[in-house]
Amino acid sequence: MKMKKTSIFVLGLALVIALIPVSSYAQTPTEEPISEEGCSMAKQKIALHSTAATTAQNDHTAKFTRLKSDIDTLVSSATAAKYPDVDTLATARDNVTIAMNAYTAQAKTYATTLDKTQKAVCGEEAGQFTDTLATARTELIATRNSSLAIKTAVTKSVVPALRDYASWLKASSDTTQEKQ
Amino acid sequence: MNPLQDDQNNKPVSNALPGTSPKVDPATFVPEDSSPEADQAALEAIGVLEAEESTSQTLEQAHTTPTLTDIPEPTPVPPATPTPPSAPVAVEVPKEVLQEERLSSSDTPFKAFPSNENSSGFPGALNQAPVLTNTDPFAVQKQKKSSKKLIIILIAAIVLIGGAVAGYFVWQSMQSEPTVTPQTTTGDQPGGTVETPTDTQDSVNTRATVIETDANSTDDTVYDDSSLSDATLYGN
Repeated sequence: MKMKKTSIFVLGLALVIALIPVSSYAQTPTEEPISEEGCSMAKQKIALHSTAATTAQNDHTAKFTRLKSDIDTLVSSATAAKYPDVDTLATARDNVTIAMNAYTAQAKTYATTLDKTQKAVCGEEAGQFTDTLATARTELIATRNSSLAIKTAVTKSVVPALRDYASWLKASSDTTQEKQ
Repeated sequence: MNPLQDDQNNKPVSNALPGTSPKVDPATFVPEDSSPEADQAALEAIGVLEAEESTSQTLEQAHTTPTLTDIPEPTPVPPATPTPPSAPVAVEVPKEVLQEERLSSSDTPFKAFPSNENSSGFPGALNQAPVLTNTDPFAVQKQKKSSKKLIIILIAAIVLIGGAVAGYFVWQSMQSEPTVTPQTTTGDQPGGTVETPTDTQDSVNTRATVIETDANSTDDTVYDDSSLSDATLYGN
């Protein structure tokens, strides 16, 4: 019995000792003050991320502009076909346009925040690195949400309107054939 | 006294070396020594000059000096005396005869001399220099023609390439524009035309699917929270 208790105690002690460094590593970045070296290294990584974010913004803008052009074409043809529910299609197109403009503005704001973070003085006071980094994280979430808003506008608004337009075209074609 | 020797002493004639001889008109030529023998010799020479013979015959006569061989009849000239003075006189004759023939027989000044005249023993400058200078305009004209052809070919190539590029862009813009074709309907609107789009149910559904797929394919990983997380910024 004594041997069992001793072995259980040793194993438990070894487990506790093994978990100590893991828990301390997880708490280090946020709770301990950031060193000067860590701050400059983080700035370099933020610079790389800023470049990637600018490239992503350009790609997103180009793609959404092309999508909007396609939707405009379909709205024009629906208007020419005297589609009765063309307003729904036009409204869906306008929603995409609004979401695109919001994303463009938000992406610019995020890029500006990242630039400020790179130039901020290392420190935790207002306006210094830690403070601007927190603002950049907030803008990152907002930018991601604005990009998702475009996808939502296309998926939830434009695509259903186009399906309705396609159904109307089918019904119109059937009616014309019956009349003939 | 030998008239040929007198001619040799005569300055204009003796200075008439090949290529540098001054022009002496045989009709008005009056030697300083006006002895009858010299006059007769001069008359004989003039007779030779006025003879309308071919250039080759004249040249042969000039080299062989057949007229000068007749001269010894009136004068007791030793037959052994050479006849170098007659050579300059004979040189003068073909030069003018050649010029007259050249002017009278050819309309264009670019006619080349026959090849036998080049081998006649005269200095090359007399026969070859005009030929070289007169062929230059042809070369310039040929160069101008070739350069004009090159310019025309270049302009044609540029026009063709530009037309192809413009055609491509026009075709591309026509492809992107929606085509609406009028279609005559019967029934409610007899005789009227109603514009119907070329869109069909399938085409619109296809385009809706493409738009949805394209929108969802945008890569938002750059906006992940991990981009600015502590692990990313402060980790190794």
